[in-house]
Amino acid sequence: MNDWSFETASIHAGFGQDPETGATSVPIVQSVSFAHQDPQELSDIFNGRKFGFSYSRIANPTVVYFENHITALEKGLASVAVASGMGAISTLFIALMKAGDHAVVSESLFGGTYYLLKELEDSHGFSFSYVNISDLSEVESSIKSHTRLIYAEAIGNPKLDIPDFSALSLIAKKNGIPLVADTTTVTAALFNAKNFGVDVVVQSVTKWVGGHGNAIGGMITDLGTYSWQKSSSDLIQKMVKKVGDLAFVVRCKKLRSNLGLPLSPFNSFLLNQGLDTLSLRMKKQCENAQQLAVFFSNHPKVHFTHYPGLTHHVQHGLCHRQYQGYYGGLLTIRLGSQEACFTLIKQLRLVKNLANLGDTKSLIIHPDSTIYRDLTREEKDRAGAYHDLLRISVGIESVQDLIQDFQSALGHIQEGV
Amino acid sequence: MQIRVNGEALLLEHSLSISGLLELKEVKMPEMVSVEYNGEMLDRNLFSTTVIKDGDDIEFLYFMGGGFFSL
Repeated sequence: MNDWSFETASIHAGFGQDPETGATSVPIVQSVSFAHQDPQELSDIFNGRKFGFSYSRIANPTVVYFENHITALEKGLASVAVASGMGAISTLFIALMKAGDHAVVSESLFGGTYYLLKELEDSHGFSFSYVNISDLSEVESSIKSHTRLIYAEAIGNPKLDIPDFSALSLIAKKNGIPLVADTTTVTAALFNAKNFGVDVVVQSVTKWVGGHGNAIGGMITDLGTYSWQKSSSDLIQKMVKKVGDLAFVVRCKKLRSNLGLPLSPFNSFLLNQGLDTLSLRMKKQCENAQQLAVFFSNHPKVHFTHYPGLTHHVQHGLCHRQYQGYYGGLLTIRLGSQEACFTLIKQLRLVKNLANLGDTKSLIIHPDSTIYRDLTREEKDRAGAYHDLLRISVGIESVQDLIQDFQSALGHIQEGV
Repeated sequence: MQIRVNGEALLLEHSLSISGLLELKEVKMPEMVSVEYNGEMLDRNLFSTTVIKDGDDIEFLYFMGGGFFSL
């Protein structure tokens, strides 16, 4: 692996150029299957004794280029691309757990992840301890003999809490289990997960990595720091005997194939393209979010502004240290009522009301009535999805235009609503 | 010396490490290949220091391509 900076590697790592044509963009290999004249060759490929491609549910060249690109940026061992961010998270839990197994997870989770974990509890016999991930004694005391992993989001969505990954890593290591981070909100552009003791990264690459709101995808990356030979999971041990240190990624790859979760070649191309400008976009989004947070903090109609870049955020310093002096492109505001939230959204002209994150465009949503609709009031509040909260994913527009849009819309909220 | 690689006989004129054999066989993405050495999975950290002997049986298992789905 070379010593390129992230900005250089995000453009040049992974593909480089096609040795035959000189093309510098990743080719889209839009083919279901791959023909081989020699039947022995196809048999060897199926059995893993020869490198090659057989069927795109199992592997596809365009997808492999994207996986290698992400692996290089994460400085990891290997990656497995899947059809969505939720595909990555479900594959992760099913890869490491079976009925009777347990995991310690942050209580501050994306709504889709909550629904998945509840499904796995009900139908698969998995169990989870939902903890305040900033309370290290709660994390440690929740670990049981059959706990298989610790799982947290790099910036809790929408609570915007920040786990101390170095501290969590010590707990994970002491107990011989892997630490897994959902780094969707920060990506490798802001977070060198490996340096902070994370063992496995999962991402919805639909969001900041792709960045243009035009393709759905997920990624699982083994950072190569956890010794799977020591795993207490018999599912992993079975695989260790067959493929050694690649046990986890090969298990994920097997699940991707058997569950039917391959990422399409065209989506791989689009998402891979996003990596070229990832660093530029993320830094601009962070700068815009900081200025918007200051604007909201000083606005009389905004009851509370939550953004890690504000000095009153309890993890402001941790965020600064962990994410290279940046605070992410997400912020939340509380307006006192759902009615005020809806009024604001209706009056916005530039900012789009939709369920996505990390787009070049600024986006807004009322999580309580949409993404978190099926959770109880207590669960919603624990996740930070309060009834009067709006989540804003800040884009790369002129921040002055964004402030003007919000200024105008906030003016339509009546006092006392 | 004579060895077997993925079931096929191979004549080596010089002593070679596993890393050297991966290079000799022009294995694509060698970091994504697992190696079974005389029936035992070989630790990746030992690829460069494991010297191949006459009669060794070596299996390369490719992770990134189209195989392994039936494991």
